[in-house]
Amino acid sequence: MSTDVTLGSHASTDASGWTRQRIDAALLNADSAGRALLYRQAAVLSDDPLEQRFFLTQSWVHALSAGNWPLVARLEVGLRRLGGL
Amino acid sequence: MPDGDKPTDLLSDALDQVMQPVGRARGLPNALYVDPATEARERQKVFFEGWSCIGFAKDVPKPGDALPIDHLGAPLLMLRDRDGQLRVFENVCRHRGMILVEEARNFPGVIRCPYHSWCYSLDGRLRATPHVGGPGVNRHASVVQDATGLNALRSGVFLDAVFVTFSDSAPAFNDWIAPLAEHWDDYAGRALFHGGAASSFTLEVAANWKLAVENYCESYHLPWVHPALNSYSRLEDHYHIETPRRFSGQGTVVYNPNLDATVGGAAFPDFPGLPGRWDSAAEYVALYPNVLFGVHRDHVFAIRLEPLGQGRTREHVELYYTAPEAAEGAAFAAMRAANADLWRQVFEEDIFVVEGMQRGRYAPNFDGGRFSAVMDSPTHCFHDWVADRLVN
Repeated sequence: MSTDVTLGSHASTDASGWTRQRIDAALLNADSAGRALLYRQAAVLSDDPLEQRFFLTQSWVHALSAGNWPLVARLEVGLRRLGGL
Repeated sequence: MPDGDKPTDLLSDALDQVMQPVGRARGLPNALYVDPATEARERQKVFFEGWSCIGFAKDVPKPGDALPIDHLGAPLLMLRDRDGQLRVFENVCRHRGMILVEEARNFPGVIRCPYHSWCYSLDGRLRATPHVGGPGVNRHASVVQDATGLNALRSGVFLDAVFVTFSDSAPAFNDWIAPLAEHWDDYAGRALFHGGAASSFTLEVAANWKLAVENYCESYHLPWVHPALNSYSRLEDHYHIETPRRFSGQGTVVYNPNLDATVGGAAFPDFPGLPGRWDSAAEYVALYPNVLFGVHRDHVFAIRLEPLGQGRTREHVELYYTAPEAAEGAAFAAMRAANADLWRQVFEEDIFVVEGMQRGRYAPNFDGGRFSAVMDSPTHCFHDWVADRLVN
Protein backbone atom coordinates (compact mmCIF):
# COMPACT_ATOMS: atom_id res chain seq x y z
CA MET A 1 0.00 0.00 0.00
CA SER A 2 2.58 2.52 -1.05
CA THR A 3 0.59 4.55 -3.57
CA ASP A 4 0.47 8.19 -2.56
CA VAL A 5 -3.05 9.49 -3.09
CA THR A 6 -1.82 13.05 -3.18
CA LEU A 7 -0.22 12.18 -6.52
CA GLY A 8 -3.63 11.40 -7.98
CA SER A 9 -3.10 7.75 -8.92
CA HIS A 10 -6.47 5.99 -8.90
CA ALA A 11 -7.61 2.57 -10.09
CA SER A 12 -10.17 -0.07 -9.07
CA THR A 13 -7.24 -2.30 -8.19
CA ASP A 14 -3.60 -1.45 -7.80
CA ALA A 15 -0.38 -3.30 -8.35
CA SER A 16 -0.62 -4.94 -4.95
CA GLY A 17 -4.07 -6.33 -5.74
CA TRP A 18 -6.15 -4.37 -3.23
CA THR A 19 -9.87 -4.12 -3.97
CA ARG A 20 -12.62 -2.34 -2.07
CA GLN A 21 -13.99 -5.72 -1.04
CA ARG A 22 -10.65 -6.79 0.40
CA ILE A 23 -10.26 -3.46 2.15
CA ASP A 24 -13.72 -3.69 3.72
CA ALA A 25 -12.93 -7.16 5.02
CA ALA A 26 -9.56 -6.10 6.38
CA LEU A 27 -11.04 -3.07 8.14
CA LEU A 28 -13.06 -5.30 10.43
CA ASN A 29 -10.03 -6.56 12.29
CA ALA A 30 -7.54 -3.74 11.83
CA ASP A 31 -6.29 -1.42 14.55
CA SER A 32 -6.03 2.33 14.02
CA ALA A 33 -2.64 2.09 12.37
CA GLY A 34 -3.94 -0.49 9.94
CA ARG A 35 -7.20 1.34 9.28
CA ALA A 36 -5.29 4.49 8.42
CA LEU A 37 -3.49 2.61 5.68
CA LEU A 38 -6.56 0.74 4.49
CA TYR A 39 -8.69 3.87 4.14
CA ARG A 40 -5.87 5.59 2.34
CA GLN A 41 -5.80 2.66 -0.05
CA ALA A 42 -9.56 2.95 -0.52
CA ALA A 43 -9.01 6.56 -1.56
CA VAL A 44 -6.39 5.45 -4.02
CA LEU A 45 -8.87 3.06 -5.60
CA SER A 46 -11.54 5.71 -6.05
CA ASP A 47 -12.04 7.95 -9.06
CA ASP A 48 -14.55 10.18 -7.27
CA PRO A 49 -12.95 13.22 -5.56
CA LEU A 50 -15.71 13.38 -2.96
CA GLU A 51 -15.25 9.73 -2.15
CA GLN A 52 -11.50 10.20 -2.03
CA ARG A 53 -11.96 13.05 0.42
CA PHE A 54 -14.22 10.88 2.58
CA PHE A 55 -11.71 8.03 2.67
CA LEU A 56 -8.80 10.38 3.29
CA THR A 57 -10.73 11.80 6.21
CA GLN A 58 -11.20 8.32 7.65
CA SER A 59 -7.54 7.57 7.09
CA TRP A 60 -6.54 10.86 8.69
CA VAL A 61 -8.52 10.21 11.88
CA HIS A 62 -7.02 6.78 12.31
CA ALA A 63 -3.53 8.06 11.55
CA LEU A 64 -4.04 10.70 14.24
CA SER A 65 -5.18 7.99 16.66
CA ALA A 66 -2.17 5.84 15.86
CA GLY A 67 0.25 8.74 16.18
CA ASN A 68 1.51 8.20 12.64
CA TRP A 69 2.52 11.83 12.26
CA PRO A 70 4.31 11.56 8.87
CA LEU A 71 1.17 10.01 7.40
CA VAL A 72 -1.00 12.63 9.08
CA ALA A 73 1.05 15.36 7.43
CA ARG A 74 0.74 13.76 3.99
CA LEU A 75 -2.99 13.20 4.39
CA GLU A 76 -3.54 16.78 5.44
CA VAL A 77 -1.88 17.90 2.24
CA GLY A 78 -4.30 15.72 0.28
CA LEU A 79 -7.30 16.87 2.27
CA ARG A 80 -6.46 20.52 1.73
CA ARG A 81 -6.15 19.91 -1.99
CA LEU A 82 -9.59 18.31 -1.98
CA GLY A 83 -11.22 20.98 0.21
CA GLY A 84 -11.46 18.77 3.29
CA LEU A 85 -9.43 21.06 5.56
CA MET B 1 -30.19 20.36 51.11
CA PRO B 2 -29.84 20.55 47.33
CA ASP B 3 -26.67 21.75 45.67
CA GLY B 4 -26.23 25.48 46.14
CA ASP B 5 -28.93 25.87 48.78
CA LYS B 6 -28.05 27.21 52.17
CA PRO B 7 -28.19 24.64 54.96
CA THR B 8 -31.51 24.41 56.70
CA ASP B 9 -31.81 26.37 59.93
CA LEU B 10 -31.59 23.17 61.93
CA LEU B 11 -28.45 22.03 60.19
CA SER B 12 -27.04 25.53 60.27
CA ASP B 13 -27.43 25.65 64.05
CA ALA B 14 -25.71 22.29 64.35
CA LEU B 15 -22.82 23.47 62.19
CA ASP B 16 -22.45 26.59 64.31
CA GLN B 17 -22.06 24.34 67.32
CA VAL B 18 -19.34 22.39 65.53
CA MET B 19 -17.35 25.59 65.03
CA GLN B 20 -17.25 26.39 68.75
CA PRO B 21 -13.95 25.91 70.65
CA VAL B 22 -13.20 22.22 71.01
CA GLY B 23 -14.18 22.05 74.68
CA ARG B 24 -17.67 23.32 73.91
CA ALA B 25 -18.19 22.04 70.38
CA ARG B 26 -20.36 19.21 69.15
CA GLY B 27 -19.34 16.94 66.30
CA LEU B 28 -20.82 17.18 62.84
CA PRO B 29 -24.52 16.32 62.80
CA ASN B 30 -25.85 12.90 61.80
CA ALA B 31 -27.40 14.23 58.61
CA LEU B 32 -23.96 14.62 57.06
CA TYR B 33 -23.44 10.88 57.43
CA VAL B 34 -26.84 9.39 56.73
CA ASP B 35 -29.13 11.89 55.02
CA PRO B 36 -28.86 11.82 51.23
CA ALA B 37 -30.28 15.34 51.12
CA THR B 38 -26.92 16.65 52.36
CA GLU B 39 -24.75 14.89 49.79
CA ALA B 40 -24.95 17.32 46.88
CA ARG B 41 -23.97 20.30 48.96
CA GLU B 42 -21.10 18.44 50.58
CA ARG B 43 -19.80 17.35 47.19
CA GLN B 44 -19.96 20.90 45.89
CA LYS B 45 -18.69 22.82 48.91
CA VAL B 46 -16.27 20.34 50.47
CA PHE B 47 -14.84 18.76 47.32
CA PHE B 48 -15.49 20.63 44.09
CA GLU B 49 -15.04 24.22 45.29
CA GLY B 50 -11.69 23.44 46.88
CA TRP B 51 -8.83 21.08 46.17
CA SER B 52 -9.33 17.34 46.52
CA CYS B 53 -7.33 14.24 45.66
CA ILE B 54 -8.30 12.17 42.62
CA GLY B 55 -5.42 9.71 42.33
CA PHE B 56 -1.69 9.28 42.06
CA ALA B 57 0.74 10.43 39.42
CA LYS B 58 2.49 7.05 39.38
CA ASP B 59 -0.59 5.65 37.64
CA VAL B 60 0.23 7.57 34.44
CA PRO B 61 4.01 7.14 34.26
CA LYS B 62 4.60 7.45 30.49
CA PRO B 63 3.60 10.04 27.88
CA GLY B 64 0.21 9.07 26.48
CA ASP B 65 -0.87 7.18 29.61
CA ALA B 66 -4.46 8.03 30.51
CA LEU B 67 -6.60 6.99 33.45
CA PRO B 68 -10.35 7.64 33.65
CA ILE B 69 -11.47 8.53 37.17
CA ASP B 70 -14.93 8.85 38.67
CA HIS B 71 -14.57 11.62 41.24
CA LEU B 72 -17.82 11.73 43.21
CA GLY B 73 -19.71 11.18 39.98
CA ALA B 74 -17.67 13.61 37.90
CA PRO B 75 -15.95 11.82 35.00
CA LEU B 76 -12.31 12.91 34.86
CA LEU B 77 -9.34 11.92 32.78
CA MET B 78 -5.85 12.08 34.24
CA LEU B 79 -3.13 11.79 31.62
CA ARG B 80 0.49 12.51 30.89
CA ASP B 81 1.08 14.55 27.78
CA ARG B 82 3.90 14.25 25.25
CA ASP B 83 6.10 16.59 27.29
CA GLY B 84 5.60 14.53 30.43
CA GLN B 85 3.27 17.03 32.07
CA LEU B 86 0.39 15.61 34.09
CA ARG B 87 -2.97 17.03 33.07
CA VAL B 88 -6.55 16.50 34.20
CA PHE B 89 -9.58 17.04 32.00
CA GLU B 90 -13.23 16.28 32.15
CA ASN B 91 -13.50 12.91 30.41
CA VAL B 92 -16.18 14.19 28.08
CA CYS B 93 -16.24 15.08 24.40
CA ARG B 94 -17.15 18.71 23.81
CA HIS B 95 -19.47 17.60 21.01
CA ARG B 96 -22.28 15.52 22.50
CA GLY B 97 -20.93 14.85 25.97
CA MET B 98 -19.84 11.28 25.28
CA ILE B 99 -17.40 9.68 27.70
CA LEU B 100 -14.05 9.66 25.91
CA VAL B 101 -12.00 7.02 27.71
CA GLU B 102 -13.52 3.99 29.45
CA GLU B 103 -10.41 2.28 30.80
CA ALA B 104 -6.76 2.95 31.54
CA ARG B 105 -4.62 2.84 28.41
CA ASN B 106 -1.86 4.54 26.47
CA PHE B 107 -2.60 6.86 23.57
CA PRO B 108 0.14 6.86 20.93
CA GLY B 109 -1.69 9.66 19.12
CA VAL B 110 -4.77 11.69 19.83
CA ILE B 111 -7.76 10.81 22.01
CA ARG B 112 -10.60 9.94 19.66
CA CYS B 113 -14.20 10.12 20.79
CA PRO B 114 -15.80 6.75 20.01
CA TYR B 115 -19.05 8.44 18.95
CA HIS B 116 -18.28 10.84 16.04
CA SER B 117 -14.48 10.68 16.24
CA TRP B 118 -13.73 14.19 17.30
CA CYS B 119 -10.05 14.03 18.24
CA TYR B 120 -8.16 15.77 21.02
CA SER B 121 -4.43 16.22 21.48
CA LEU B 122 -2.99 15.16 24.82
CA ASP B 123 -2.80 18.83 25.77
CA GLY B 124 -6.57 18.99 25.37
CA ARG B 125 -6.76 20.87 22.08
CA LEU B 126 -9.47 19.85 19.63
CA ARG B 127 -7.37 18.42 16.81
CA ALA B 128 -9.90 17.02 14.34
CA THR B 129 -13.63 17.22 13.69
CA PRO B 130 -14.13 14.71 10.88
CA HIS B 131 -17.07 15.33 8.52
CA VAL B 132 -18.23 18.24 10.69
CA GLY B 133 -19.09 20.28 7.61
CA GLY B 134 -20.50 17.32 5.66
CA PRO B 135 -18.83 14.18 4.28
CA GLY B 136 -15.12 14.78 3.94
CA VAL B 137 -15.36 18.41 5.06
CA ASN B 138 -13.51 18.56 8.34
CA ARG B 139 -13.86 22.17 9.43
CA HIS B 140 -16.94 24.32 9.88
CA ALA B 141 -17.47 27.79 11.25
CA SER B 142 -20.02 26.49 13.74
CA VAL B 143 -17.26 24.67 15.65
CA VAL B 144 -14.35 26.89 16.60
CA GLN B 145 -11.59 24.41 17.32
CA ASP B 146 -9.44 26.76 19.36
CA ALA B 147 -12.36 27.37 21.73
CA THR B 148 -13.55 23.78 21.95
CA GLY B 149 -10.75 21.90 23.66
CA LEU B 150 -11.31 19.51 26.53
CA ASN B 151 -12.44 21.17 29.73
CA ALA B 152 -9.27 21.30 31.79
CA LEU B 153 -9.14 21.27 35.55
CA ARG B 154 -6.45 23.00 37.52
CA SER B 155 -4.31 20.30 39.08
CA GLY B 156 -1.27 19.88 41.27
CA VAL B 157 0.84 17.08 42.73
CA PHE B 158 2.13 16.72 46.27
CA LEU B 159 3.88 13.55 47.47
CA ASP B 160 2.60 11.93 44.26
CA ALA B 161 -1.05 12.61 45.15
CA VAL B 162 -2.91 14.44 42.38
CA PHE B 163 -5.27 17.21 43.40
CA VAL B 164 -7.83 19.08 41.33
CA THR B 165 -10.34 21.83 41.76
CA PHE B 166 -13.41 22.60 39.71
CA SER B 167 -13.48 26.17 40.97
CA ASP B 168 -11.97 29.30 39.50
CA SER B 169 -12.05 30.89 42.93
CA ALA B 170 -10.00 28.23 44.72
CA PRO B 171 -6.50 29.44 45.60
CA ALA B 172 -3.55 28.55 43.41
CA PHE B 173 -2.39 25.01 44.16
CA ASN B 174 1.00 26.12 45.45
CA ASP B 175 -0.67 28.53 47.85
CA TRP B 176 -3.14 25.90 49.00
CA ILE B 177 -0.51 23.24 49.62
CA ALA B 178 2.05 25.65 51.10
CA PRO B 179 1.20 25.10 54.79
CA LEU B 180 1.71 21.34 54.56
CA ALA B 181 4.65 21.68 52.18
CA GLU B 182 6.28 23.97 54.72
CA HIS B 183 5.37 21.73 57.66
CA TRP B 184 6.95 18.82 55.78
CA ASP B 185 9.72 20.79 54.16
CA ASP B 186 11.98 17.80 54.85
CA TYR B 187 9.86 15.65 52.50
CA ALA B 188 8.18 17.99 50.03
CA GLY B 189 9.74 17.89 46.59
CA ARG B 190 11.69 14.71 47.15
CA ALA B 191 11.55 12.00 44.50
CA LEU B 192 9.37 9.12 45.67
CA PHE B 193 9.55 5.61 44.27
CA HIS B 194 6.43 3.51 44.38
CA GLY B 195 6.89 -0.04 45.58
CA GLY B 196 4.88 -1.62 42.75
CA ALA B 197 1.82 -3.81 42.77
CA ALA B 198 2.55 -5.30 46.19
CA SER B 199 2.67 -1.79 47.63
CA SER B 200 -0.84 -0.87 46.47
CA PHE B 201 -3.99 -2.11 48.09
CA THR B 202 -7.55 -0.98 48.63
CA LEU B 203 -9.94 -1.38 51.51
CA GLU B 204 -13.67 -0.87 51.27
CA VAL B 205 -15.45 0.23 54.39
CA ALA B 206 -19.14 0.62 55.11
CA ALA B 207 -18.70 4.12 56.46
CA ASN B 208 -18.78 7.73 55.40
CA TRP B 209 -15.43 9.05 54.19
CA LYS B 210 -15.31 11.64 56.99
CA LEU B 211 -15.16 8.93 59.62
CA ALA B 212 -11.93 7.62 58.09
CA VAL B 213 -10.45 11.11 58.39
CA GLU B 214 -11.69 11.55 61.93
CA ASN B 215 -10.18 8.27 63.05
CA TYR B 216 -6.88 8.87 61.27
CA CYS B 217 -6.38 12.30 62.81
CA GLU B 218 -6.07 11.27 66.40
CA SER B 219 -3.84 9.03 68.49
CA TYR B 220 -6.38 8.65 71.31
CA HIS B 221 -7.59 5.31 69.97
CA LEU B 222 -4.19 3.71 69.48
CA PRO B 223 -3.89 1.75 72.74
CA TRP B 224 -7.34 0.25 72.26
CA VAL B 225 -7.57 -0.36 68.55
CA HIS B 226 -3.91 -0.92 67.67
CA PRO B 227 -2.35 -2.67 70.68
CA ALA B 228 0.57 -3.99 68.65
CA LEU B 229 1.37 -0.56 67.30
CA ASN B 230 1.12 0.84 70.79
CA SER B 231 3.60 -1.70 72.08
CA TYR B 232 6.48 0.18 70.49
CA SER B 233 4.95 3.64 70.09
CA ARG B 234 2.96 4.50 73.17
CA LEU B 235 0.15 7.00 73.46
CA GLU B 236 2.39 9.34 75.40
CA ASP B 237 4.91 9.32 72.54
CA HIS B 238 2.40 11.08 70.29
CA TYR B 239 1.63 14.72 69.66
CA HIS B 240 -1.05 16.60 67.75
CA ILE B 241 -0.53 18.32 64.41
CA GLU B 242 -3.04 21.05 63.68
CA THR B 243 -3.20 23.75 61.05
CA PRO B 244 -6.79 24.95 61.27
CA ARG B 245 -8.86 24.78 58.08
CA ARG B 246 -6.03 22.94 56.25
CA PHE B 247 -4.84 19.72 57.88
CA SER B 248 -4.53 17.89 61.14
CA GLY B 249 -3.09 14.68 62.44
CA GLN B 250 -0.64 13.15 64.84
CA GLY B 251 3.04 12.56 65.17
CA THR B 252 5.13 10.13 67.16
CA VAL B 253 8.60 10.52 68.55
CA VAL B 254 9.11 6.78 68.42
CA TYR B 255 9.29 5.27 64.96
CA ASN B 256 10.77 1.81 65.10
CA PRO B 257 8.78 -0.60 62.97
CA ASN B 258 11.25 -3.44 63.47
CA LEU B 259 10.71 -4.87 60.02
CA ASP B 260 14.25 -6.20 60.15
CA ALA B 261 13.14 -8.78 62.68
CA THR B 262 10.73 -10.11 60.07
CA VAL B 263 13.17 -10.26 57.21
CA GLY B 264 16.53 -10.88 58.74
CA GLY B 265 18.21 -7.65 59.64
CA ALA B 266 17.83 -5.62 56.45
CA ALA B 267 16.66 -2.01 56.47
CA PHE B 268 15.19 0.28 53.88
CA PRO B 269 17.48 3.17 52.96
CA ASP B 270 16.48 6.49 54.51
CA PHE B 271 15.88 9.70 52.59
CA PRO B 272 19.27 11.36 52.40
CA GLY B 273 19.95 14.42 54.48
CA LEU B 274 16.94 14.30 56.79
CA PRO B 275 17.33 16.25 60.04
CA GLY B 276 18.11 14.06 63.02
CA ARG B 277 14.67 14.30 64.55
CA TRP B 278 13.35 11.99 61.85
CA ASP B 279 15.63 9.19 63.05
CA SER B 280 12.88 8.19 65.44
CA ALA B 281 9.88 10.33 64.42
CA ALA B 282 6.97 9.81 62.06
CA GLU B 283 3.94 11.92 61.25
CA TYR B 284 0.44 11.15 60.00
CA VAL B 285 -1.64 13.95 58.55
CA ALA B 286 -5.08 14.19 57.02
CA LEU B 287 -4.97 16.81 54.30
CA TYR B 288 -8.57 17.90 53.97
CA PRO B 289 -10.71 16.65 52.52
CA ASN B 290 -9.65 13.22 51.38
CA VAL B 291 -6.02 12.24 51.54
CA LEU B 292 -4.15 10.74 54.48
CA PHE B 293 -0.38 10.89 54.44
CA GLY B 294 2.22 9.17 56.56
CA VAL B 295 5.89 10.12 56.44
CA HIS B 296 8.83 8.21 57.87
CA ARG B 297 12.56 8.43 57.31
CA ASP B 298 12.47 5.35 55.08
CA HIS B 299 9.05 5.40 53.41
CA VAL B 300 5.93 7.42 52.77
CA PHE B 301 2.37 6.32 52.33
CA ALA B 302 -0.70 8.05 51.00
CA ILE B 303 -4.32 6.99 51.26
CA ARG B 304 -6.92 8.47 48.94
CA LEU B 305 -10.41 8.29 50.33
CA GLU B 306 -12.89 7.71 47.53
CA PRO B 307 -16.47 8.28 48.65
CA LEU B 308 -18.66 5.64 47.00
CA GLY B 309 -21.83 6.95 48.58
CA GLN B 310 -22.75 8.41 51.91
CA GLY B 311 -22.15 5.17 53.79
CA ARG B 312 -19.35 3.62 51.76
CA THR B 313 -15.71 4.53 51.16
CA ARG B 314 -12.88 2.97 49.22
CA GLU B 315 -9.42 3.57 50.64
CA HIS B 316 -6.60 3.49 48.09
CA VAL B 317 -3.34 2.84 49.91
CA GLU B 318 0.00 3.48 48.16
CA LEU B 319 3.48 2.96 49.63
CA TYR B 320 6.57 4.76 48.39
CA TYR B 321 10.25 4.35 49.11
CA THR B 322 13.31 6.51 49.05
CA ALA B 323 15.27 5.03 46.16
CA PRO B 324 14.70 2.79 43.13
CA GLU B 325 16.45 -0.18 44.71
CA ALA B 326 14.22 0.00 47.79
CA ALA B 327 11.10 0.29 45.63
CA GLU B 328 11.92 -2.26 42.97
CA GLY B 329 14.99 -4.29 43.97
CA ALA B 330 14.60 -7.99 44.65
CA ALA B 331 16.70 -7.63 47.78
CA PHE B 332 13.96 -5.53 49.36
CA ALA B 333 10.95 -7.49 48.08
CA ALA B 334 10.35 -9.34 51.34
CA MET B 335 10.64 -6.12 53.33
CA ARG B 336 8.24 -4.31 51.02
CA ALA B 337 5.75 -7.13 51.45
CA ALA B 338 6.19 -7.07 55.22
CA ASN B 339 5.75 -3.31 55.32
CA ALA B 340 2.59 -3.49 53.22
CA ASP B 341 1.27 -6.25 55.47
CA LEU B 342 2.01 -4.19 58.55
CA TRP B 343 0.08 -1.19 57.29
CA ARG B 344 -2.75 -3.29 55.93
CA GLN B 345 -3.13 -4.84 59.36
CA VAL B 346 -3.15 -1.44 61.04
CA PHE B 347 -5.72 -0.02 58.61
CA GLU B 348 -7.89 -3.12 58.84
CA GLU B 349 -7.90 -2.76 62.62
CA ASP B 350 -9.62 0.58 62.10
CA ILE B 351 -12.47 -0.80 60.00
CA PHE B 352 -14.72 -1.93 62.84
CA VAL B 353 -14.38 1.52 64.41
CA VAL B 354 -15.36 3.58 61.38
CA GLU B 355 -18.14 1.16 60.48
CA GLY B 356 -19.39 1.22 64.07
CA MET B 357 -19.42 5.01 64.08
CA GLN B 358 -21.34 4.97 60.80
CA ARG B 359 -24.04 2.75 62.29
CA GLY B 360 -24.02 4.97 65.36
CA ARG B 361 -24.94 7.93 63.21
CA TYR B 362 -28.43 6.46 62.77
CA ALA B 363 -29.14 7.01 66.49
CA PRO B 364 -31.73 9.81 66.41
CA ASN B 365 -30.57 11.33 69.70
CA PHE B 366 -26.84 11.33 68.95
CA ASP B 367 -25.92 14.98 68.66
CA GLY B 368 -22.57 14.68 66.93
CA GLY B 369 -20.73 13.84 70.12
CA ARG B 370 -18.41 15.56 72.54
CA PHE B 371 -14.70 16.09 72.04
CA SER B 372 -11.97 15.68 74.58
CA ALA B 373 -10.35 19.09 74.51
CA VAL B 374 -7.04 17.36 75.18
CA MET B 375 -7.16 14.28 72.95
CA ASP B 376 -9.63 15.05 70.17
CA SER B 377 -8.59 18.44 68.92
CA PRO B 378 -7.21 17.16 65.58
CA THR B 379 -10.60 15.57 64.87
CA HIS B 380 -12.41 18.73 65.92
CA CYS B 381 -10.09 20.64 63.63
CA PHE B 382 -11.41 18.55 60.72
CA HIS B 383 -15.05 18.93 61.77
CA ASP B 384 -14.58 22.67 62.07
CA TRP B 385 -13.21 22.76 58.50
CA VAL B 386 -16.13 20.76 57.11
CA ALA B 387 -18.64 22.95 58.91
CA ASP B 388 -16.96 26.10 57.67
CA ARG B 389 -17.01 24.83 54.08
CA LEU B 390 -20.69 24.00 54.31
CA VAL B 391 -21.77 27.20 55.98
CA ASN B 392 -19.59 29.63 54.07
